[in-house]
Amino acid sequence: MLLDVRNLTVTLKTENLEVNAIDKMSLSMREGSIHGLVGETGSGKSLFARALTATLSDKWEVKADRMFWQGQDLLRLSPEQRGQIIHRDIAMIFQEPGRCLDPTATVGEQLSEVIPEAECVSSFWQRKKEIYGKVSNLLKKVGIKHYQKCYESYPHELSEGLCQKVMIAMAIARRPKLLVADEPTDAMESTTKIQILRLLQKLNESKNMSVLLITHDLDSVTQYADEMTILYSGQSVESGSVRDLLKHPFHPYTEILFNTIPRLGDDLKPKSRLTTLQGSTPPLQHLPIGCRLGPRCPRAQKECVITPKSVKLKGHVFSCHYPINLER
Amino acid sequence: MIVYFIRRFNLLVTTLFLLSLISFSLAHLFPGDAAINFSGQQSLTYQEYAKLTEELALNESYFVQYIVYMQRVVQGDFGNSFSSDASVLDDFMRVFPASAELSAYALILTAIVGLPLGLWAGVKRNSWIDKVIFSSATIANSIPIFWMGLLLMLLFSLNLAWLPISGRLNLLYEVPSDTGILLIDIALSNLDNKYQIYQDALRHLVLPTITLAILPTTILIGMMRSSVINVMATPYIKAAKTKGLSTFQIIRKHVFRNAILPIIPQFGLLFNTLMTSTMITEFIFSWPGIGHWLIEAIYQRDYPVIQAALLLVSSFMVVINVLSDIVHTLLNPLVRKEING
Repeated sequence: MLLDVRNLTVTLKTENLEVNAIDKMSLSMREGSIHGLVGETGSGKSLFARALTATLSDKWEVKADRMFWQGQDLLRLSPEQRGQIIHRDIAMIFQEPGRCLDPTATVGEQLSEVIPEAECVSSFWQRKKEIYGKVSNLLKKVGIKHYQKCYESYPHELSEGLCQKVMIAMAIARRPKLLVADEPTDAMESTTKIQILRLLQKLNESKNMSVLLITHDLDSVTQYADEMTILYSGQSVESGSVRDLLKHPFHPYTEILFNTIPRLGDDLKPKSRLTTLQGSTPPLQHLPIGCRLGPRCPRAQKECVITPKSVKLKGHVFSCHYPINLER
Repeated sequence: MIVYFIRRFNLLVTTLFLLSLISFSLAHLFPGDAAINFSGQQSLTYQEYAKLTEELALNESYFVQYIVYMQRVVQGDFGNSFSSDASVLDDFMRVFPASAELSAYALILTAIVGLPLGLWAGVKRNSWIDKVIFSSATIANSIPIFWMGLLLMLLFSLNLAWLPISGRLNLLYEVPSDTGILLIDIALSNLDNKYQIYQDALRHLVLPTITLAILPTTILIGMMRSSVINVMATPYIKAAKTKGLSTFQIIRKHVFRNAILPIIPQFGLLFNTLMTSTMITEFIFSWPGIGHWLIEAIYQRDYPVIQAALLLVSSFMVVINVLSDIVHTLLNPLVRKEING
């Protein structure tokens, strides 16, 4: 196991409010896989990434039964040791890549500063040339053809897709074991989106780099990810291999989620309603007790006011009192 | 880009034109005879007066008068001072270096103290260090500069007797004026006790420089702090944190440059406050600079000097403002983007 998180709880603490934004969520990742983390806006996907990389501010409190990174519990380590491990092994890319690059420095400058100094072999006066070579290599690796031009450009002169490629180049400079991609293709054109996702897939295969793909785009997850975890309002709903989940979802939310994707050949009548779940996601101030899907769930019963335990069955892990598709 | 420069240049020319109009009209608005106000020659015989009136075209229309005035300004002829009877431009060139020297040192002190403190306060936002820096800056900002100057003088010169009260140099030393900038003049001179003279000159500099630097420093701290806070909240700083750069690296490579860029055009405004404070400071410390010269001229109703000083000082300020704008454009890639579309 590369990453094994069990019962992670992230609490927002302010003067008049204390909410578990993530409530007992679990996630485990195999080495070298692409793992999709799916959920609606505000379900705590990005929060999970930030809790993992320890970049949350003091207002947030992170607790977990365990947070194993290659057999080491990150939460039991001192902040410095933890920072070291995270810095060495985990890299992150974000949505809106254009805004995640320093607008006043050229792409070349920004890439040069992430090249680890320990990797430079040449002497001081040849350092610049060597770093330039390494940066060009990185840019080539992420599929930028005009790397020379890109090297000299400022971020605002590049398209969003190129910026994201630069971010990826920056992320793989340290050869991380895990790349956390936080909605990397949000608000991108579909061709650029496919390019970026293909690039991630390629890097995953060729460099054996695991990717945690955080997104609300179900299509990209079903296409590129091996496994997935579904979140709802900070609770993990179901996780397992993508193919299994598509075929035999055990949790009602999983089934509804996949049904919301309109497919070709579904014989949709004109002006008919698309399948949705009634209601909307609860805001942080008004979270229901127990299973947070409760008020919207078509199968909810009295027992659902108690938080369901996660059950492992046929390779899925799900938390529901009244699962579906069990008869078969 | 060139279009941008032309636009800026256009602004410069327009402002200078308006300033020259005001300066020109002053000679007519000031009490007394326009011919005397323009030329600065007070005791004239009738023939001389008639000749002067013709030279200045005072019998012609205002438009012609203005053209004649501008011709004289371009030639550097601002008339003579009432009080010293020397050419106003000569007087100006004599006092200007002293002011420029003082303002330059104050500006350097402002940058050395203000930028790091503002940066520090912004990075450690809401910590006690931020509160100490920001509140002391606010307090210092609200103290009137002439009062502050007098207090410093009272404490360090009169009570403790550490520093001299006023002037640029002890009267014992006679440094020939080549450039007008004292510290350079001392180096150029062939006096034997240079070390003592330097010491004396620097001791004279301390109080005026500090007094002058206080106000711009507090403004700079405020501007830098809010700019740093803005930058720290941007996504690229958050992204830089996950890249594994140390806090120091992030501040040096990303925060500092991005925070200082929006401040550069405001440096022009800072210069304006600096200029007015220079006048007050010079008067308190009897520093032989423009401020001292101008305020003396106002006391003595020296109209040619007032007229010329208004034109020269304000043109200087306008030029500095436009220059800081252009420098900002050259340095900031984001502004260049907006200009180029």
